[in-house]
Amino acid sequence: MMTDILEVTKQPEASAITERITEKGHESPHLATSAQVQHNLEHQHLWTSIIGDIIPGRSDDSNTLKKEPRQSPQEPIPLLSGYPPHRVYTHPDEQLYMLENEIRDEDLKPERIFVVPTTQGQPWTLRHMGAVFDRLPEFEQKAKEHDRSVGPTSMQPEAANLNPEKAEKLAQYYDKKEKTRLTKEWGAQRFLLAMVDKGMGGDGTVAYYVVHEGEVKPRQN
Amino acid sequence: MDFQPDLPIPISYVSGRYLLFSIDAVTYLRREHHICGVLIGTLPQIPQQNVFLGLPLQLMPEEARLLVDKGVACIVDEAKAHDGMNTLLEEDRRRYLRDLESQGQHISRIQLDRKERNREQTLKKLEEKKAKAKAKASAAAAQTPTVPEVTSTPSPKNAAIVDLFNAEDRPSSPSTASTSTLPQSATVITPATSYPPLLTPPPSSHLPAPAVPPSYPLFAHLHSKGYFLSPGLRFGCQYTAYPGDPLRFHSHFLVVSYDWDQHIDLMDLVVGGRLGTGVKKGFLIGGAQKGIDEVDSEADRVGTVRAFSLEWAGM
Amino acid sequence: MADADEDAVRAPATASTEPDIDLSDETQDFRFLNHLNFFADSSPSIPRRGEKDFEPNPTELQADVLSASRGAMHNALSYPRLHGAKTRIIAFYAPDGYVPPVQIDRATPKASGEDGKSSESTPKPARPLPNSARISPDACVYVPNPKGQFFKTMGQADSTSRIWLLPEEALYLIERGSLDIRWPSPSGSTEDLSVPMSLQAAYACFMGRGGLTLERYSVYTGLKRLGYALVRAPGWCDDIQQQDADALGSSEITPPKIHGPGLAGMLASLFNWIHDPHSTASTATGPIIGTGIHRSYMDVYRKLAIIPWYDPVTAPERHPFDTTPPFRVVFHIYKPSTPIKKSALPTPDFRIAVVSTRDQTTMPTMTQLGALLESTPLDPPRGEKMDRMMYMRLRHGYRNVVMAVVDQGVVSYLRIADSAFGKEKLYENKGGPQGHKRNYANQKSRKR
Repeated sequence: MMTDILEVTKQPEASAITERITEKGHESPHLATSAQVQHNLEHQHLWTSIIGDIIPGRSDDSNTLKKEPRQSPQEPIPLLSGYPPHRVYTHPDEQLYMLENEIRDEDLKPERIFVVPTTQGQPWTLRHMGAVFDRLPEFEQKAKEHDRSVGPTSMQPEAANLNPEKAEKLAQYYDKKEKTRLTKEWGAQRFLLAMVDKGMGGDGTVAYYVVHEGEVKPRQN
Repeated sequence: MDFQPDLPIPISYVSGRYLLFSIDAVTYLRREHHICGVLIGTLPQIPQQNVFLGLPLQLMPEEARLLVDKGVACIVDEAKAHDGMNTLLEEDRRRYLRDLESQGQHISRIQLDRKERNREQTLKKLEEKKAKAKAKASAAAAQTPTVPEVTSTPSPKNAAIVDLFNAEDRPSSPSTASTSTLPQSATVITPATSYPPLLTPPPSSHLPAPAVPPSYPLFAHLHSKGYFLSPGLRFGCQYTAYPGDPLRFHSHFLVVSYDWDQHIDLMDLVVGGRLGTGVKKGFLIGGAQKGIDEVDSEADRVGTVRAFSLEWAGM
Repeated sequence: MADADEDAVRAPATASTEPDIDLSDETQDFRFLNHLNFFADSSPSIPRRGEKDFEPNPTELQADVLSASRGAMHNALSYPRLHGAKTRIIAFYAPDGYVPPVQIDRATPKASGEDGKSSESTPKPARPLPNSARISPDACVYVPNPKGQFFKTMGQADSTSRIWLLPEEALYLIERGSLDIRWPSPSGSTEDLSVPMSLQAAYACFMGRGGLTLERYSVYTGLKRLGYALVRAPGWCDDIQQQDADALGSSEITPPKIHGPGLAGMLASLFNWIHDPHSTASTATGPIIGTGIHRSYMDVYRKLAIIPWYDPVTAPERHPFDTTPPFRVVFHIYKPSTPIKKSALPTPDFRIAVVSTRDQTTMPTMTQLGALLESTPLDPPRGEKMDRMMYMRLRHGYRNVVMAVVDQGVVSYLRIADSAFGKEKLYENKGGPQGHKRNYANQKSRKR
């Protein structure tokens, strides 16, 4: 009786995301997660110019090398990056500076944000965190080259509309921002850790957390 | 107030825990070394509450270890040290009892003075009231000149309290000047510490540096960056890290330590990140890149610590 | 602990505006304590919560405020423990524990030092008096002339009316400045040379004695400060044995029932089901509820209830020795309002287990937690309110225990209750579930 019912019921067509994940997932489970997060960034959070990359895993698994702290972990770590429609993170001191100088989020050039897609239950250690930060500058460089090759993004605020005073303030801001890169006043390197809930089949929820290198004081919102 | 105790400061090892009984040591370590510990004792002046607690101060093994490694403190087996009480010479006992007695007299006098002053103040207030009534009734009052005296009394009173609180090693001489009004040993003191009458234990008797949990390198790393650290279980973490003295500042981080290759359940990061964001704190994880078997000492591991802060991205 | 009791103790001034803030959760600014007059006769009230800053800045104001806070803290912690002539209670430390009183004239109450000596000199075998038997072997301080309120709930009197105190009792009293404990006077001296014990000495001598750990003491003293009375429970000794447990007053512990409750319950429902005249059902061959005519949803639901559930009412009660330390009740607690007679203690209001985070770093297993709960007597939800509100019943549970988790001097209390979800037949409840939905949790952290 039961089997009859099953035969009668027509399986629904796979969703776009499922198709996409299945397509990518053939290569590795990490890429399946990556595909799901990319989909979420693109369609739920409206990110643009998303590019994917991968931090390769360690090929040889000898235990002698394991002790080397800077050695990357065994598993490959996928890495996504893209432009969010709004600023995702502003350091509290940066926010204070912007407030004092009457700079709004919308005045600023969009920033490419890096995302590490993960899923519940996958191996994760401090070494993984460290590896991402160690390789981040390299990927930032790569992404810059990519952006140059495609040309300036359409999201650039129209410089023509700015009054000179504002332009001056913005120039100062970018100057300051460049300096804080070294002093780490406005926080050090950071990326978004995306976690896909796949427990018990999962519900498609992706949670995003900002991960900073080192001790970065919390926002006070 | 900026008292400098003799170093190394003896930390009492009592039944497996690390305690401090000297207020000067507590204040000094907090001020100079950012070590806060947890006050666990009852304040004798307000004993029926848990908001403000008093001595002793309990130190985490991590705190004790840090101080010992810095050469600021040493560990004393307090039960053993107190065996010395049985062999105290008769002469020392007498001297100690005499000292305590004079301290007691000093306090009795302060109390008596205060009572006296309080009484005077009440009387004066009464007189003032009367005077006011009189003034209302008739034209002027003769008692008004006494008022300035009344207003000046609070400050010497406060000075007396401060003086009293620094009583620990005050010589007994000033108070021994006899006052006929005082009954002998009217007030008896329970001292906070046993030194005196006991002598500072010799370095040969010091216990080895405290054993510490695997989270020690991260603890020491954050401490070296100027953070004040407290036990964190109440906030669902190992330590809470404060950017300044917790007396005046809210904490910035909920801290959990992992070994470099220890598996981290990503759900724990979600939970920690969410918990921290809910109370406007960051969730900080970290650990030493080197294991204790790879280096010479715990201190060497501290330099290899890497830490990461997490916040909910709000998206 | 009842919420109401603790809330009442929390700073009353702030309770109305900030109900969720427990002042003892955070380091308090001692400057607020300075507003109190230390020598005032009236009992001071707790000051209001202070405002804290987010981060240090280089302003002088901040530095001054911090320095003032530290100064206030220094002052508050320097406050001496004083014994006025009228209120002074003298006690003596007995390093070797309880010593039966020597048969001497009892007219020596004034020279308290002699009492100390007399207990040290070789005691004649005293007539075994009935109440001497009650003195715990762990007692190590005695009060020759007990007076005042404290001994109503603390200590044990011997045949000469000396009160013997357990280490935690003596430590609590000396710490709050209510007891002047003296070292034993040296033998061979004619004058009274008994030196007062310092707080440090009291910790050194009493901590670790007779099973007293700093964590247990932190719980003891923390609750004493709030007005609760605490008595050691039979599970105090970690190495408690079966014979010890048998020797303990077995009145509280009923012999364990032999039959498995779950099985009995299952059998009963099985028989009901078999004997149900309307039933044509068999899970093996057809629908669970059978193919007959069902006249009410109740019947349907009853038949659908095929999953066996645990009934705490029929669970066997266990001896404390069945539990694993630290998941074992070590204190019986009485609310301040409960009248206490030391000789005949009433049923405790709460039972508490004490866990140190540095010795026990993992969560208790279900077996450990189950044993802990089953070592407590049945305490079913009763009363008008409980009968009405299902969620209150679930929250209260059928057995309960308080777990004090002590993290380096910081105590968190958790109430753990054995909720009987299976006993709540939702389908019989026509009006739908009552009570606040928020209250469903049976395990609720007492602190944030």
